[in-house]
Amino acid sequence: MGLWVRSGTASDQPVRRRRRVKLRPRFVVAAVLLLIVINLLALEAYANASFVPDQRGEEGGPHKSVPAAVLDGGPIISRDAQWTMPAHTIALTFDDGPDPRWSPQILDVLDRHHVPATFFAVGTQVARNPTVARRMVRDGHELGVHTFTHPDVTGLPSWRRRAEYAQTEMAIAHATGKGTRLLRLPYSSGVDALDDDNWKLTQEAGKLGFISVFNDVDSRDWARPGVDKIVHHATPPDGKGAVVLLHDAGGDRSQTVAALDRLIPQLQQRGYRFTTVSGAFPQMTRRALSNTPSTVTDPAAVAPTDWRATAIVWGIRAADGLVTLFWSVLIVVGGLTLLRTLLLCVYAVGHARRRRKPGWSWGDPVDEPVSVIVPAWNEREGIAATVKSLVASHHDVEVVVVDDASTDGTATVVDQLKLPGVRVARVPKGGKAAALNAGIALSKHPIIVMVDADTVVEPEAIHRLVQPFADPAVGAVAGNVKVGNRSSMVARWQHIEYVIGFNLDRRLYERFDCIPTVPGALGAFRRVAVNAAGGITDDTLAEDTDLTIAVHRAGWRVVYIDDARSWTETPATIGQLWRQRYRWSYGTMQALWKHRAGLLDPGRPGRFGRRGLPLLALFTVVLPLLAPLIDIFAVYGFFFLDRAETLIAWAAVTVVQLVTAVLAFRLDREKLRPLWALPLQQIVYRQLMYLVLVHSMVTAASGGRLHWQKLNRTGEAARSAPPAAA
Amino acid sequence: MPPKDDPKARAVAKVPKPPQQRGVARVPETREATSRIHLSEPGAQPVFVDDSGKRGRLLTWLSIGFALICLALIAALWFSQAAATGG
Repeated sequence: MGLWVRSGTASDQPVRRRRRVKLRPRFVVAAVLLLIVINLLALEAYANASFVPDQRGEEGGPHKSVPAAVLDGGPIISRDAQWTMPAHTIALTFDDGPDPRWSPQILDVLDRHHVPATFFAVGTQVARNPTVARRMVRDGHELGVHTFTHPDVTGLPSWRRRAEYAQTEMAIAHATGKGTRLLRLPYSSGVDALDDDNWKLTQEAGKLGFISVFNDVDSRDWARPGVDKIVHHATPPDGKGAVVLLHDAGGDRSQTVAALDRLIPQLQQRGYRFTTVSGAFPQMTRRALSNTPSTVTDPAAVAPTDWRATAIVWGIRAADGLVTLFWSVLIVVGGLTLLRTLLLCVYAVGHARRRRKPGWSWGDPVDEPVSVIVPAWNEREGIAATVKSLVASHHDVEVVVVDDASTDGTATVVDQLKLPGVRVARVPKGGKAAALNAGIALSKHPIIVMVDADTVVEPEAIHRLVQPFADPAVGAVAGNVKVGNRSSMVARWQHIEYVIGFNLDRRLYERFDCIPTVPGALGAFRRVAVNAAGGITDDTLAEDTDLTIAVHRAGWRVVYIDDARSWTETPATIGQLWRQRYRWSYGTMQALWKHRAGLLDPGRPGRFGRRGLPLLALFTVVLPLLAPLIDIFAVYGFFFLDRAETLIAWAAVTVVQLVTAVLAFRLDREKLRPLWALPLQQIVYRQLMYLVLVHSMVTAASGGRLHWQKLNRTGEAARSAPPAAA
Repeated sequence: MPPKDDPKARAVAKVPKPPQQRGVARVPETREATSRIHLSEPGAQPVFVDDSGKRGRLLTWLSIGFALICLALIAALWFSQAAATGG
């Protein structure tokens, strides 16, 4: 595609200056939004306990500092007291909930037997399932703190522990309107198993006004040993009273539900009564609270309407919502991408096979001469090679170089070549579209080939390019554009991109009759088709895409010829690439938007508008715009989810891309060597491409003006290019 | 689906027999006269462009407003939790 300078008007300068000022808040806003996304992802990672040390809390360290009386005492410990459950009294305790699936089932069982219980809730779960927590309180059960994110608290600094307790109280208060003084630490068990570390934590919790609740009897239901075993484990010996440990979350709890339905009547028959933990000792809470400092951990300080409670609960919900949204979009994007890859492979290979079959022909050979139009603005480095390659074509050509008021003597360079059949038309400065229009008017043949002035065509290219015009339905033909300068990494990435774009994408698009762009670097049109499309317009920056869409909508077929090759010079630096792509993506959006009325085009010629336009919008704008999610989740997953799984997923994506690329290279009979740069492409190039897309999207939405910019030419494409032509 | 008048037939009618040498140095006057020049429509505004800058300003303020609200909410969250753990 050509690079040009839009016709400058007197008003351009102030417009440009204004635009520069307007850019700034845009970047600040983008940075703020990014910061917010990072914050929410961090919050989500915190809520899923991804910041805690990896080792699971194991009791059983040294217990020299734990008083013997404590080790032999009851399972309920406050700052200055310890309680043992009275005989024939059971406090059922459930850890890790509330769970949206299992907690209600457990509540149903408890309800049926009219038995109260104590739920040691995980704060994030309360924030996520407030209705379940509310039902617990409504049904007469008691809630206790089981920390906010279920970490192993022994490995945490004390401020993190305080946050874990306080936030859980907030979540409980926010959901149920009740405060709680009960605390059970994750991975704790019987009081007789207390070690030094956990004793310290218990004392600390006591100072904060908490009552630590251990257990007498562990049902071991977390291991899902079977209903009989759970009932057996949960039954205290000899009619003793007990705090019984069960779980209402953390996986399949159907065994717990079933066991409970047997355990309760059995124990009731033996004369047991059931109670909540504080229900067994009415004075307990008041006593625990006496002489404790009045901090936020004081339940009175956390009213259900407390804004801090609201903040953490809604923070968790926002983070959950964002991640859920991201995941679902990612799944849709992934599915569509995979579908597209499959379509590409199937249809592109089919297309290539059909075209390469020995008997394939478009009809009678097209040998009539064609007009070649080369619009040029300050192209002295490459123009001579371009024109020479055109004259060397194995097809009769009339070459019209339209010089759009170059200041570097481009026209003179062509004149001095004194080649037969080459004319130079000097037109007043008017932009690329006007130059092409002038060239079309000044040329005479019914078939028009457009070639950019930085492009070199192979001798056979023009002849092959125009063969499809034997089919009267074909209105335009896209050629195969190759990257001529492949020495730099940036150019190598573009080479990969071009080969895939031309050999897979264009074949697929042809199959669905929606080739979006006949490239300015090499494309052929029927004069009547161009006229039907209304010539080349300058209201978009992608005049080639605009023209192609207009030709489609005028009812013509557009096809792709892979063996009509031209060699073009691509941007060799990131900065130039950015500007070029910025213009392309902006221009493509302009062209799609300009032709939006095509969605309602009637009849068979309107198929492009009805079918092709949405397809193009999806694959050229929407999907690439959502691609950043892949990177966000790659980083998020690497740090906070299963690292190995993330790496495997990432590798899988790369492999799919590699396979696609290999296929494209094989179809184009290209050497596979440059593909080593493909994994690297994933780290810089892809991100650059979607940043460009986002940027041009914002420019489009805000109505900013984007200008043509010209590449710095080296003429390298012409020098290094067509090995086939040499 | 091509238009009703077959382009190829019309093309043949227009260009009788191309000269045998490559390219053509000069286009006959008559043909130049019949060629159509497509001029861009006089008042045609580039797609998306809003030179008054109104849309851009509205968008800028809306996004600044949105960003500020989000920022305030995030700040409130951090502040509230810092206050809760500071005890």
